[in-house]
Amino acid sequence: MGYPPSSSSIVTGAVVAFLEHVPPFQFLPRSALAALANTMTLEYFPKDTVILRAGPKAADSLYIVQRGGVKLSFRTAVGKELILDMRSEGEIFGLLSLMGRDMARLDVSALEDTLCYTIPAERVQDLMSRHTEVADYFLRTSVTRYLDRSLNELREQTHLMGDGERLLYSLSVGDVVSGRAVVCTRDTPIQEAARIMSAGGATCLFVVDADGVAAGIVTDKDFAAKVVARGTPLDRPVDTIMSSPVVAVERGQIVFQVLVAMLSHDIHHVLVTEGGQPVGVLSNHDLMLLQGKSPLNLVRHVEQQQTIDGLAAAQKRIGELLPLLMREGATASHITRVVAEVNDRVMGKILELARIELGRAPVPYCWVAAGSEGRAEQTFKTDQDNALIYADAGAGRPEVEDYFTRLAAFAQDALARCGYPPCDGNYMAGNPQWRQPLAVWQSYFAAWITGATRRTAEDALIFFDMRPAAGDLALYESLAAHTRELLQTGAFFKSVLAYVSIEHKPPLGFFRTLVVERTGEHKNQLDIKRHGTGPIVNAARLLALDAGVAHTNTVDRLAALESLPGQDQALLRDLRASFEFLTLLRLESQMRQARAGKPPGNYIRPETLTNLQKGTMKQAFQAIARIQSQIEARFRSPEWSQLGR
Amino acid sequence: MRRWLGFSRAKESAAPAPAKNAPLDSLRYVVLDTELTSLDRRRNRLLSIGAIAMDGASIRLNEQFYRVVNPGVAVPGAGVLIHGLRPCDVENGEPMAQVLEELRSFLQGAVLVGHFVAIDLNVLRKEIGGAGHSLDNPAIDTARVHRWILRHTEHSESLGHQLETLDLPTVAASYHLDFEQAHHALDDAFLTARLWQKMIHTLQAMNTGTLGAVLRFARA
Repeated sequence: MGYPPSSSSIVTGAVVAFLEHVPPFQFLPRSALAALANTMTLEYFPKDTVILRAGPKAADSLYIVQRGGVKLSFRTAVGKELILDMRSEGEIFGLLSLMGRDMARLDVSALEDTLCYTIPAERVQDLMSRHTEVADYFLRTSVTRYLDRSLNELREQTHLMGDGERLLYSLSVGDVVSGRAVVCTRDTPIQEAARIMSAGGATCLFVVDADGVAAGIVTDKDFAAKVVARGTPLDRPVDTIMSSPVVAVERGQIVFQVLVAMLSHDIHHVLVTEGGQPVGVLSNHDLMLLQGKSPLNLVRHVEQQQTIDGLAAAQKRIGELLPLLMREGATASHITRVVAEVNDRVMGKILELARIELGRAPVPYCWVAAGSEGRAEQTFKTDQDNALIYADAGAGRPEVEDYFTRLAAFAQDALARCGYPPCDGNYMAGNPQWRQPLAVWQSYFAAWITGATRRTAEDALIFFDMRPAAGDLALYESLAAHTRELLQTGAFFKSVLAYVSIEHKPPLGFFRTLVVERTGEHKNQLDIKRHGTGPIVNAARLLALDAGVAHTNTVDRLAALESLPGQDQALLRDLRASFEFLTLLRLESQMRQARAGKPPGNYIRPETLTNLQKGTMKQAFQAIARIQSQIEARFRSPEWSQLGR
Repeated sequence: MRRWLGFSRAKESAAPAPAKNAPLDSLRYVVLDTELTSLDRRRNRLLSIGAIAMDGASIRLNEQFYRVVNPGVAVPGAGVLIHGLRPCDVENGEPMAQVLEELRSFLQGAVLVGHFVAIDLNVLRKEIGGAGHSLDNPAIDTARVHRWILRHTEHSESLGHQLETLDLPTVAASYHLDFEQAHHALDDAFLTARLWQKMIHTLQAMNTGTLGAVLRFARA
């Protein structure tokens, strides 16, 4: 480009030397960097200069910070500035706006005096088409960063933001922690521990090991129930009455995570740590102060109900809760987890009411959630996916079978009244096939694994996502342990699962040729579950089962796989981000449908997506295609040819 | 990449002079530096020229100009230590007439900027004049800009000292610019461009954001 080329090297040499340390440019050969340098400009922005402003105009260049730093922020509907990210030396900005070729969503301004190199948009496109490393790098960044942006778009659209809920997502634990953690060592006598606790003005006491890490917690209740009520000698060490392990959150986590921890462990106190060391305590009371309407309140409300009608009314409130959670920045997986938590509570409550109605169960049983409920991935659209395992002692006894028949019927009817319609596939405890003693369940899993067929794999997909919801956990554990053992020699089964996993290909041609439903009610729409989230769920399940990962939630499965050696971590991370993204799109679309008074479905209209969303979706589909081809290479078996029909 | 080669003469003469009330960030600049045979104003000749274009405060890395010229005279050996151009480099330089022709295209319509740019202009006008043309672009001296900014902002005891030391490395350092001492015409032009880039923002902040206002105190 430059003329004469050799003479350009004085100035461009410095630029090249800089680019050699900036990904993704560092992956390019020197000659390409020199050519690139000759297309760039150098810009100077004094502190507080607004470099890019959110608005209809897309950025026409990619910016690389050479000196200084910038912040990316947006203004909420109420005019509050929220800083989303900062970029410092060697980092880039302006890319998403540039790739979306639509509006810039964020303000970018200089935090200090800042020098930036810029590359014109068409050069960036050119680089991405010529160098796959550059494209991969840029697109990965955009996929993983999409969620924040998409949620922020939602926030911007929101005008009714309850202060209480917003605080859940904008404050960190450190911002709200008030109580200090009162601690004592394991060998402290009970009486001395009680004295330490009351002297500290605390309602709980953390028992720490020699290294300062909390080993257990003692509350007022423990002193009442385990000391006074049992007449325990006061000179016994406090660790005999403590509860463990301690549920802890780090100072830097957002308050929402405390909520999730409290909900899932059913506890009222969470230890706040800094670098693992106790620094404070957060109670449910602290959270109550922060919020009016909240998931915790909803769960409590569910727990208070004594009738099915009361439960039905309480369950409806989740419909109000979800839009709030979305607007305030919860990720898709956070939202579905809250839904699962509420569903579990409703289920637990129904079984409690069943016991009042039908009397105690003659033998122990475990009520399990299966399918999407088992993965804790239900959204607005919820149906019944469940099953019942009872102890082998009840096998073949008519009165036991009769009891569980009535229990399942009661539950199925109650769930329907509470807004969970019966499952189309009849995967419910009400179906005698899925209401069996442990030994029968074990034989089911054995048959699925050893005698896998295309048809039985459908059932297996539902029940390999099994999760205990209520009752005797030991029954579920026995079944799970048995299954894990069988899976160690389940090569053929895995091969069948693999076949099913790659059956639905993502529509890679989606945006070029609009590969959508061509006829019928959903003409020109895309089934985002069938072609998007479904294939990720299937891939994650297969890889998790293969690697012995016990989680059922797709995000948890992918995260656990990511931490194992020998996995394609970059791809797993992309899949996780893609799954969050696609689930979020589905939630957004379902929320719109709910608002319009339509039943929530899984179809989306491509024309309602922004360019950025389309681009991100395309990346998500490409990640799915990559994992599917890896799965095919690894699990393909000769029998696939017979699985077809 | 903007082409400065092959501009027709008709187009060249049609270039309008920049308006005095034009905002500083709307103008096209060419920031330049030269290496000379000596500092003797009457007899010195051009050895090399480096220049880089700016659109407003944006430095166009893609619009650089650097040529070593063969002036057709013997080059005093002492200068080699300063500008690094050996006699053999100069002998391999391009013919003066050709370089000047390319340079005139590159400078066309631009406001010239340089540090003590009067020295560069003096030699360029002599060379261009010798070829039967003139060089009458408006020109801004960043040394004068610096002095004016100092006088209008600094009130410290050291002002007198600062006004005495106006060489490019000292001024660049006072603007927190990092650079290596090079005495290469293009390198120095680039450093001056970075200096002018910052000065544009400073001048705008001082309500001195038009060409006319700056030329009043910084015309070379």
